[in-house]
Order: sequence, then C-alpha cells, then structure tokens
Amino acid sequence: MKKYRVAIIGSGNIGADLMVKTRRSPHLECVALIGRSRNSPGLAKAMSFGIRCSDQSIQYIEDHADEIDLVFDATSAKDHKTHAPILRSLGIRVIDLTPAKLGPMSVPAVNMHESMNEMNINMVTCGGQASIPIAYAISQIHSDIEYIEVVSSIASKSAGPATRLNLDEYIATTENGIRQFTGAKHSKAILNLNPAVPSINMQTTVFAKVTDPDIESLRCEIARIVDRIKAYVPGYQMIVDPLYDNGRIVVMVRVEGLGDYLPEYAGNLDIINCAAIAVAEEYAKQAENA
Amino acid sequence: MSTKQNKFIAEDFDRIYPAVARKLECLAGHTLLVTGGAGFLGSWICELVHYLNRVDKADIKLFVVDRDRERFAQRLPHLVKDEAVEFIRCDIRSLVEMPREVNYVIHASATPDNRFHASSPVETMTSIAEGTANALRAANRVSNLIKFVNVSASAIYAANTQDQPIPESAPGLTLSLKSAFAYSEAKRYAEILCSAARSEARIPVVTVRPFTFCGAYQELDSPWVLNNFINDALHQRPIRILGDGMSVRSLMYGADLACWMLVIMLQADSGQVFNVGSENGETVGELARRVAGCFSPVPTILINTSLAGHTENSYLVPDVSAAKSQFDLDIYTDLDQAIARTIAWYHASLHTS
Amino acid sequence: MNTRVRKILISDPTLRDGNHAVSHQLGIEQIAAYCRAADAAGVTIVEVGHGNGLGASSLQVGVAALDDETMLTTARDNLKSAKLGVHVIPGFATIERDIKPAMEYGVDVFRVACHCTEADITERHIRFCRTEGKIVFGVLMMSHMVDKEVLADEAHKMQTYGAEGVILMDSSGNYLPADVAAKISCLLDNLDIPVGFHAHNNLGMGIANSVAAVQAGAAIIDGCARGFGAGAGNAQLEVLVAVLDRMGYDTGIDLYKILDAGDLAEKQLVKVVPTISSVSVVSGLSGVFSGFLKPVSRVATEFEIDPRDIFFELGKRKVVAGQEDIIIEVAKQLKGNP
Repeated sequence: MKKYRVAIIGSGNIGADLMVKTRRSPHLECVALIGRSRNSPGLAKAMSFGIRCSDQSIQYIEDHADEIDLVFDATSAKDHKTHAPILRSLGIRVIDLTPAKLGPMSVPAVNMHESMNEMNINMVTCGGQASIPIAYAISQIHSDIEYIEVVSSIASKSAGPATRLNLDEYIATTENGIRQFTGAKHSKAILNLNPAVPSINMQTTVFAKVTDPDIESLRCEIARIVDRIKAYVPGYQMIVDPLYDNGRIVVMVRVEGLGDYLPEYAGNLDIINCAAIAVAEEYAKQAENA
Repeated sequence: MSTKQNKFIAEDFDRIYPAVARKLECLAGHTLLVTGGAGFLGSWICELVHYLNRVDKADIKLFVVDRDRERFAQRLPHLVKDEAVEFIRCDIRSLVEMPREVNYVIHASATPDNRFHASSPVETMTSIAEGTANALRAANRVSNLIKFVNVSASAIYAANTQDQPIPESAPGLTLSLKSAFAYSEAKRYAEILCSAARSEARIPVVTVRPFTFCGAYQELDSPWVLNNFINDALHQRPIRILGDGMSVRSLMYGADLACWMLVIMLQADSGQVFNVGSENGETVGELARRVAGCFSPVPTILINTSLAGHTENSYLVPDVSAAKSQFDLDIYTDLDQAIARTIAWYHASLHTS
Repeated sequence: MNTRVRKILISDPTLRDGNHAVSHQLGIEQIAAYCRAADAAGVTIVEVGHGNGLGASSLQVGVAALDDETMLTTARDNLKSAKLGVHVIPGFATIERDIKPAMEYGVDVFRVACHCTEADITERHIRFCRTEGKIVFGVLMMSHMVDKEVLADEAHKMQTYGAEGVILMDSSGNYLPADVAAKISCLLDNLDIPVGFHAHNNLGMGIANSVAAVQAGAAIIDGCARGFGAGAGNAQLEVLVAVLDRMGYDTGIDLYKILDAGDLAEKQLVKVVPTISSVSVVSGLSGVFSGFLKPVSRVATEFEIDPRDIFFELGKRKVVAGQEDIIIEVAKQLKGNP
C-alpha cells in the first residue's frame, strides 16, 4: 500500500507531535519536517527517526512539490497566510493548525465528509475539537438552541507562549465554531489555565440553554458521538453525563493526551493533532480509492 | 516604503555625511555582513551603506542576514533591488555559513522588545547565546575577517545610582538569578563569549553598548518614554508622564548611530569596548515638552499622573568620551532635530500604510 | 523620620466584588445611587461590573442582570470626579469584544487580572490599554497559592508590559497579616511601580491584612462598603478609611460621607450584610476562591452533601477562579456517582 506523503512545516510542539503521530499511522508517511532553526528539538527528534529535515521553510515544499501529497502547517498565522496561496498553486492539500483559519473548519466527528472536498481546512481550536461534537449532539436533539457556552481548563504547562499570546483569537474562533456547527444564536468560550501540579488533564464543560430540554435522548446521542471521537482521540472521556442543572444542560469531558511528544497532560494539543491526523488518513484513503 | 521615505533618510545623511566622510573611506571596496539587518540598528546601517555606494561609489558589498524577509522587503525595498545587497533569510540559531568574502561583521541580531524578554525569557537567552556562538563560528571561517562588532546592550550595567553618565568601566550588574534579568545576563554572556572567541580563535572583536535612540524604523508601540509621548500626541491625547518627569535620558538619532557604528567598526582595535549614544541627558519632562512642540495644536503635558504616587526616577545616560576622543566623533543631529525628524517619519509612514 | 503624610489610593470595588454577593444582579438604580455616594465621598476609583469582570456574564460564573454596557454607562453618568474602573480577566474578556467597547463607555482604569502564576496572558491586554492611553494596573489573583518570589516574578512581567501598579488579591481570604507584609515587601523590592492589596474577610483579617499591607509599603488598597463582596466579603471600606485616618495616612476620602455611603450600601445594595459563615471559614482555610460560595452552596443543597466537604476537596485540587464547573464534578464524586 502506497503511503500518503505528508510534509510538516513548523517543528515546534505541534509539528513535532504530528511527526511522531504519523509514524503510528498505516496510511501516512512523514517525508519532511521543516523548521525555522536548525537547533530545534523537534528537528533533532525527526533526524533520530531518519526523517528528512530542512530549515528552508516553504522553499523546501516548492522544491519537492511532486514528492508531497499533504502539508500540515504548524507555523504561525502570519506565515500560513504566505504559505496558503503557494500550496494552492502547487495543488497540494493543507491542514492548517495555525490561528490563520483561511479555510473551512473541520471537526472529524461531525463534518469529515465535507472536509474531503477541501484543499485547505483548519482544526478550529483545542476547546473547539473537544466541545463542538458535544454541542453538535445537543443541536441534533434540540432544534432551538439559544445559547451554548464552552469552558475549558488546561494545565498551565500545556499552554505555551503561542497559546498565551492568542487567548483572544482562541475565544473568537471557538465561539465561531460553536455557532457554525450548531446554529446556536449566541455562544461563549472561556479558557482557564491551572498551574496545579501534577498537571491536570484538559477538561471541558459544555453548557447549553435550550427550549424543551430532552436529557434522555441527549444521553444516547452524546454516547454515540463520544464513541466516534474515541476512535481518533483515545484519551477522550465523558466525566459528567448530560444533566440538567439550574436551567442549563451540562456535559463534562476530559482529554488525556497520548504522550507522543509532550506529556499526557497536554491533552489540548493532543486532541487537535489527533483530529488532524484523522482527517489526513481519510484523505489518504480517498486517494487510495481514486 | 515609498521614494518619499528614501529621500527622507537620504536627507539625514546629506546633512551629516561631510563630517564623517573621511572616517568611512576605508570601507570602500569591502564586504560587510549585518545580522538582524531588518531591525532598527540593522536598517540604519543598511541605509548608510546604500548611501555610501550611491553618493561615493564606495562599492561596498552588503549581506543582510535576518529571519524576516517580509519586514526587510517592506522597510528597505530599494535594497531588495540593489545588486550590491544580498538578503540571506536565516534564523540566527541556524546560521552556519557566511560568504567567504565577508570582511566585516556587525552582529545586531536581537529581540529588543522587553515584553518578549518577560514572556519568553528562555527563548530570549538561547537565541542570544546560540546566535552569538553561531555568528562567531561562521565569521571564523571567512577568508579575511577584519572586524567583528558585537552589539551588546546598556542593560549589562548595574543600576545607576550616581546620576552621572555611565562609562565603559562602570560595574556590571550584580548576579541575580531572577528571570527579570534574563536578557541582561544573556547579553553579558555574549560579551564574554566574544572575548573567549578572541582569545581562542583570534577573532578581532569589538564590543559596542548602545543606549537610547530615536528615528525611523523603531516600532512605535515598543514601550519606552519617547514612544509613549509620540503615541499620545499622535492620538491627540495629553502627554502623560507617570512620575514627576525628573528621570534623565539621552537620545541619539538613527543616522548618527549608523555613522558611529561604522566608524567604530573601521577604526577600533580588537578587544575594545565602546558605549554608543548621546551624553546630553535631558529630563523626561523636557523630552515631553520637545515632543509636544512638534505638534499643532500643542498637546498638554500631565505629570504625576500615577494615581498611586511617585514612581522612582532613574538616570540612564552614557559616558561616550572614549569613542568621541579616540575617533573624533560628535553628535551631528541635535535633540530637537532628532525628535522632529522622528515624528515626521511616523507621520509619513502612518499616511502611507 | 518621614513626617510627610503618606497618601493611600483607595480603589472601591463595591459594585464589582459586591455583585458576587447578589449573584451579579445589581440594578441600575443601585449602581447610580452608590456611584453618587462614593463620588461625593472622594473615592478615587469606583470599580463596576460583573463579579468576574468584563465579559464574564456566563453560565459558568453567573449571568448578570445587566449587560456591561448598561452597568458602565450608568456608572459613568453618575461619577463626576471619581474614575471609573473595571476588572478584566483574559480568558473571559477579549480586547475586541469587551475592552474596546468599555473604553467607549468611558472607563478610565483597567485592572487586568490573572491567576497569580499566569501573568504572561495579560501581555496583550495591558499593552492595548496602555497604548490607548488608559490607566492600567495588573492584578494577581489567588496570590496565597504561591510564594513571594514567584509573585514578584509575575508582577515584574506585568510591569514590563506597561502596568502602572500591581495589586495582590487575597481572593479566598486565606492570608494572615505576616504573610501579607512579606509578600508586599518582596514585590516592592523587585518593582519600580506601586503595589496594592485586595483583602477578603473569611478569617476575619480584612482590615488587619490591609493595615499590614500599608505598613509594608502598599500604596493601593481595595475596600467595599459594608464589606459587600464575594464570600465573607472584603475589607470594610468605611472601617478602612477610619483606621488609616487614625494611623495618619491620607486617603483623600471624607469620613462622614463614606460612612453615609456605607449606610446607603446597607439599605440599597446588600441583601445580607456580609458575615463570616461556617462555610466561609472553610473556604478561607481551604484557599478556594471566595466567589465559589454561592455555587457551592447551591450544588451542595441539590446533591444533599455538606458544602464544607466540597470546599476542602476543591482546595485539594487547587482549583482557580473561573473553574466553577468543577464544583459539579466534585459533588458527583463525593456523592459516589462516578
């Protein structure tokens, strides 16, 4: 079986973790990890696996375009805006893990099919990946959703400088994603950083205000969607079943990371990367069947 | 940047060049490499070299090393087209090679934003440490290295309690393990690393400690007093001074800085250290008045605006007698002119952006 | 000896921290009336809004009766010489959606707050407010959770971002006076900007802690009328002014008029004058955010468990302000429903 050839630009935590995950996949092969600085630990790890490394940025992709089927862009919003048109002109698919969000959002448990037709998708946010499927399930059972709120708590250690400088973008993107996938009139996203040691796993609560809440039907729907998520995010777990408290529906989930590159407490990074890998594997299967 | 802005910078050099022309003659026909070439200091040096080539046919070849190609192209588009200038896109932590023909290196690669130092102290330190090591190693393998200038920082000096200009012999900061000193300690480490390179590999290193400057190519939102005042005035707000305005600072204009840097590079002996900046200290209140005077209507100046009482005053002015006497250098752009030109530049770039 | 009278800046969050005590239900008339009273008394900063600050009205921490715009414009209309302040927590509030509009409503003072170990999330917000020419302070919440060196480090970051002062909050009312003195001194040693203190009264130390802070050199102190605030309430403002007066400090506040403001608060704002209930004692000891008092009490009743047990468990898990959703999880766990 010919593997789908993936190049990763950005050798920070996200890029390095993706590189480790591709090695586990029967469908994907990482043909290059491209970083900015020769000394980055991500590049060193890739070299130890025998994966080709480069510090030539998008130039490398341009020079090896016919050896690459898909690019994961784990650089920055600014850089992605430069990369996107180049990749489009080369006809290479890209999964955007930066805050740039130029293309449509992708949440595998919800809209995998639609993503198959796209050449540039993004994975929303970690809170979005954790909560949108749940919020979506709520919207499948309840036709009239007034308001959905998502609160995520992540370990302080799992939030690097990029996360910390971009909290506002995180909030706006997550809120946008919630509204898009559920049709809710209003949405709100909140992010808490907790420095407790040992580091906590990512925990996300979804609150919803609906007319005529139907918790029984919701329980089945959510159980179904949680199973779908578990297929690509093994550490995803529901810790509080849907309940009705103080006028709102409440569901709580927790994500423990796989510990591929960062430790297990970085479930926030893990869920977004697992989602990206899941979509990449579908692209790979699509190409196989073509 | 438009040709209007080209002309603006050229005007500055037209004005001061006669005073320094002879001192810069021996750069002609040589090759200079600047790391961090798209930053404040780097940009002014590039502009000066471009000027020398244009006006004096100095035939200087310039290599600019920086990781931000877009910023370089945006700030210095005339250099992108210039055949005597080659841009090398490279993160200083990845730098391995310098072209063999390089004779002079100015290592100005830096992260001058102290907010970045606070939020990312580890990256601040490693990029200074690794970057300086890489620059030294790479410079070591060029065919004929005449001088390597390490751009250090006034941050390496201990807090000035004397209210006197700080000479190069002033004590360095006392060792502290707090991360607030990450940048200062990294810069001090870099100075010693350069000395070590001089000792071990005979690299002809000259150290420069720049103080405070104004002029084109400074980011207006980087928070220090002059920028804050200009920012207030540009937004038609009263100029707000938190304390009593008695802290003392000096300002050197970018064009003067570029000239001083090149003269020192050409004429200093290996192992020497020089402060660079203006020794004409002014109170912060006075600086605010000068800034206000450049706007119409003149904004009001509010002092002691801190709701919670007096903030401590500080005195940060370099003693530059060493550089002045050894190289016969002077201040060529007086303070009023420096401030006026800086504000004119911001006005111009606001209108074109 | 320094014979010059030292000035103390009093910042009054009655209409913000007090909102916690009434589940964020303060109304227009109440805000208007208290603003007038505080303004007349010479209070320098009057802080108004949802208990968790700008943009915090939510299911997580409680939906406010009024939106931010209404609260702030009402306050603005009723403050003549006092400055209008807001509490801002990045992660709840954003620059576009919350801070920019707040500037348009006439807010003068932005107190950008974070959990005491996470100062770098305030960089953009402090920068923005500063660039817009507003008065900005940094605030470190739940400051009892770390030692003084860490606090000094985090406060220094805020100073670098442009904060004009840093305030330490005793969000759970956990401190004793010696703790406060040590931490305030350490911050002053490491900063070039003024330092402040915000007390909670869970262990009856509101005034004593504030006095210790001032004696250690703090220049900014928070106080609420009748102590109207989260949990067991804050340092009682009228008492604070009286005590600081007697100690020879200059608060700029008229004693009679601030006593009148206290009377007004008791009549019109406060439903229950803050006392130290048994649950509050426990929340103080366990170091859990005072604002959790109401949600914990409610969930405890619903699940039929002891709220004190919930607090001790939350303390063990070291939850931070804003993590009210964890209360339900802990309740279920204690009840035995996994």
